[in-house]
Amino acid sequence: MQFDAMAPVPVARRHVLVTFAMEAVTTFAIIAFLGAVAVAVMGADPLAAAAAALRQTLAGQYEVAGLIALSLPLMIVGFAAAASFKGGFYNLGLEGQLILGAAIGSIVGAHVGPFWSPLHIAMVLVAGGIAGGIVAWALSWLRVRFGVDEVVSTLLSNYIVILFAIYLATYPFRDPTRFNGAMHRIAPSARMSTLVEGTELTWGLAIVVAIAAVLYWLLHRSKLGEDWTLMGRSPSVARNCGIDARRFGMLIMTSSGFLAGLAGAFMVSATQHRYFANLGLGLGFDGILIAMIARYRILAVSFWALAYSWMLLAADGIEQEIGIPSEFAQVVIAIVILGVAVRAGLVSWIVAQVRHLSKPAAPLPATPPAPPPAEES
Amino acid sequence: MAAAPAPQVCVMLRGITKTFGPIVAVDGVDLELRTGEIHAVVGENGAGKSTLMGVLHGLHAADAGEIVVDGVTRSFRSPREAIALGIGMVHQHFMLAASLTAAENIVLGFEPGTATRSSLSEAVSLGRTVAERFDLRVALDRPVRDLAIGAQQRVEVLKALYRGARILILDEPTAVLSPDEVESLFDRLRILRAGGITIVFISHKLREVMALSDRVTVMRRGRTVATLATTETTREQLAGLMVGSDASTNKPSVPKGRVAGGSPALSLRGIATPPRPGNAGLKSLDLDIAAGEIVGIAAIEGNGQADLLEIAAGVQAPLRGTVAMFGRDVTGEDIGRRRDVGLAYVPEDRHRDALALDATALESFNAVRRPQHWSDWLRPAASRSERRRVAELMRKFDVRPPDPLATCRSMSGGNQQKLVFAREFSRDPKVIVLGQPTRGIDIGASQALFGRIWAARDRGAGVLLVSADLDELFTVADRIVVLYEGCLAASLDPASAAPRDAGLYMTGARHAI
Repeated sequence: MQFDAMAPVPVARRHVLVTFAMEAVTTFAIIAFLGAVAVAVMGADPLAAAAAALRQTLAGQYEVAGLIALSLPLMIVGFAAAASFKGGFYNLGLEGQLILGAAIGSIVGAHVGPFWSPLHIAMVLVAGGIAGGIVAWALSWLRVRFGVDEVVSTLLSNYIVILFAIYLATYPFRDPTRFNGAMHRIAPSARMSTLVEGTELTWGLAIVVAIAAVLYWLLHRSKLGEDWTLMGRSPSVARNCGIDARRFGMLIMTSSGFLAGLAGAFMVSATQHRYFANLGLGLGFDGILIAMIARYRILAVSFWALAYSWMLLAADGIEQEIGIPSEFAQVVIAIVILGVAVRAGLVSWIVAQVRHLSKPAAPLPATPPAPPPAEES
Repeated sequence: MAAAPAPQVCVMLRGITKTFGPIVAVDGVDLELRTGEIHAVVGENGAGKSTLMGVLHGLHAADAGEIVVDGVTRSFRSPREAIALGIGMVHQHFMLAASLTAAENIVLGFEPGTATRSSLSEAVSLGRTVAERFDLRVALDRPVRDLAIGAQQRVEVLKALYRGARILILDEPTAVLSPDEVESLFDRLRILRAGGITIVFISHKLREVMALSDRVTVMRRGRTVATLATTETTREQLAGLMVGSDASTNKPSVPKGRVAGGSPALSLRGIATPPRPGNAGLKSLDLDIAAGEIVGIAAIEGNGQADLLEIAAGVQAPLRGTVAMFGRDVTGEDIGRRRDVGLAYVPEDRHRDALALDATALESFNAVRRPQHWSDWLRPAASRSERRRVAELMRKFDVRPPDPLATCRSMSGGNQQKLVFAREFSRDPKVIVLGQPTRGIDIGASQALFGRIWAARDRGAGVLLVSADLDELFTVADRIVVLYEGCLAASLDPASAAPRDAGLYMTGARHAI
C-alpha cells in the first residue's frame, strides 16, 4: 500500500456508546457467571438466587427507587475520585473528606436556619463541599510546597479527619437525646423532599444528574477538561505547554475534595438527616473502585455506581431469601473488580489473537486505559 | 573494508510484512546480515526501519515473511526469545532503571544466583568480565542516573552482550551523543566487530554510516531499495536512494544575516542556575540574540545547555539574573505568559516535555492554547473548525498521517517532531527556543525543519538553537556560542570557523573568553 499524505486516513472509530455497551455487557456476564459459581459452591441453586436478586432490586418502583437512592452518594464520590485520578492525583482521602462534609453539612442543617428550603439545602451541600475541599486543598499545598507524596498524606489524613468529625458529634454538636456520637437532626428545610413516596429517593436525583452533566462538560468536552487530562497524562508536558502545574494540581485536588464533601452532605440532606459516627464509612474507597472501573469517565461512573449498588442490594436479597451471607457477595464483587481492572489488557490481548488468526487485519482496538502517572516532573 | 572471501550469513529476513491497522509499515522486505559485519540501515522517518528491527528482535510479530537464523527458520513472540538466539537490541530511548547500579542493570532479568537469592557481587564480576572483553568501561557500581549519556549507552550494549547477543541492533545510537562520544562509540563498535559480533546500525547520519559501516541497506516507504557495500557508494547516492530522487545533502544556499538595531529578541543577563550531578548549571551567563538571528549553542551534554533552554523558555526560574524578550523583562513570567508574547519552544525531550503519547494531535495542538478569560475554559475543546485548521497545518508541515485524531503514540518520532514544529511555528513566533530539534529525524525532514527555522528568522524572529549535532549548528546558525562548564567559552562565526574549532572549546581544550 502506498501511503498518500494528502488522502484522509480511513481509521475506523467505534462510537463511544458502543464501546461502553460492550464493556458493560461483558462485565455483567462475568458478574453473573462468578455469582452463579459462588452460589453453587455454597450449595444453593443459582437460579433461585438470581430470582431473589432480581426480586430484591428490580421488582417494582419501590425497589428501583431504593436502588437509585443508594447509588446517588456513590456517584458523587465516584465523580470525586474520577476527577482527581483523571488529573493524575491520587486522592485517597475521599473517605475523610466525605465524612467531614457530612458532619459540617449536618451542623449547617441543624444550627443555621431554617431558611427557604432550596437555599438551606444548597447551604448544607456547599458547606460540606467546602469542608472537604479545604482538607484536600491543604494536602495538595503540602504536596506542592514541600513535595509530600499525596498518596501517603491523603490516606493518613482519613484518620485525623474522621476522628475530628466524630469528636464534633461526640462533644460540641452532640444531640443529648441520642446515643453517643450523633448530631442534632437537621431542620426540615434542610432535608430534600421525597420523589417516590415510601422510599428514600429524593429530588437529590435531579441534583446528581445536574452535577453529572456539568462535570461531563467540564472534564470531557471543555478546554478545562483537556488540560485536566493532559495533567494526568504528563505533568511535565503540561508544564512545558504553559499550564501552571502547581496551581492546576491544587485545583484538581481541591475540586475532588469538594465533590467528596458534597457527597457526605448529600447523604445527610437526602437520607440520614444527621451525622453520626458510622455514617459513610467505606464509601470513599467504594468511590475509588467505581472510578477505576469506569476509567475516570463521568457517565461511566454514574453507570457503575448504579451497578455497584445493585450488587450490594442483590447480595442482601440473596441473603434474606437463600441464606447465603451477604459478605460472600463481597468476594464476588472483589473478583469482579479485579477482573475489570485487567479487562482492558485482556480484551486487547484477545482481539490481537483473533486478528492474528483472521486476516485481513481489522483496525486497532481502542487504546487501553493508562493509570495516572504516579510521579510528577 | 573488504568483506571476507566467503561471507557467512547469520540472519536472513525474507519477505517481511508488518501492518499497523491500515498502515503498512514494512512491505515484503528482505535483509541479509553477515557474521562480523557492521550493517547500516538508513531511511527517512517512517521508512520502516524501526518496525523492521522490531520484527527482528521479537517486539513485533510479522504478518508475513520468515526469519532465518543460522539456517533455521524461526519465529519470535517476544524479545526474550530473540535474545535467546543471540539477537539483542539497544534502543534509542534507553531501557534502564535509573536508581539501580550499572551492574544491576546489566544483569536485570537474568540475574546470576538462585531464584530466591541473587548475587550482586557475582553480577559485578560478570559485568566486569563482559566489559573488559570488549573494552567497554563503565563505573559498574554507580547508579545509572549518575552516569553520562555515553556511559548509559555502554551499559545498554553490555546488557545485550551479557545476555549473549551475537547480533546487536543499535537504533540511532549517536542521536544522543556528543561528537567525541560518537567517536569513542565507533571505536568500540569496531572492537565488537573484530570480536565477531554482527552490528546493525540504524542512522540518519550518512557521514557516520560512511565512516563506520561495511554494508548499507536503504529503506524507503516500507521497502528495501538497495543494499550496497559502503566502499562502493557515496553519501550523495545514499541520500538520493533514501528520498527517492537524486537530491543531494548539500547545504542549501540560504542568505544569513540579522536585522540590525532595536532591542534584542532575547536577552539573558547574569543567569545562574544551581549545579547538579552530571550538570554544571550556568554561571552568570550573558547572551543576546538579535531579532533575525539564529544563535547555535554547542556544548557537550551537561555543560549547562539544558538549563539554558529551560531558562530561555521560562520552564525553570533562574537562581539569579534576568531574561528579557524585545526589551521587556519576562524573568518572572512563566512559559504560558511568554508564549502569549510570541515564544515558541521545542523541548529537548520530546516524550517527556513536548507531547503526551496518549494525546491526539488535536489535543497536542490545543495544549499550548492558554485561555485568556475564564469563560474560555468552558468552551468546547475541539470544534469542527479547529479540527480542520489542525488538519490543514498537519498537511502543511507534512505530518503523516495528517489526522487530527491520531494519537501521538501512533506516529513515528519524526512525525511527532513535525507535529511539535507545526504547533510551535504556526503561531508566528518572535522568539524561538529549540532543543535538539532534529534528534532522531531524517535528512529530508530535517531540511524541511531548517527551512521553517530560516523562514521564521527572516521574518525577524530570534532563534536559540541547542544541538548536539555540530554539522547542524554550522548549517543552520548565524553565530555559534560554545558553552563549557556553564560559561561562555567562545563565539564563532560558522562561515569562517569549522566544527573542529568548536570541538576544542567544547572539550575545554581551548578558551577564548
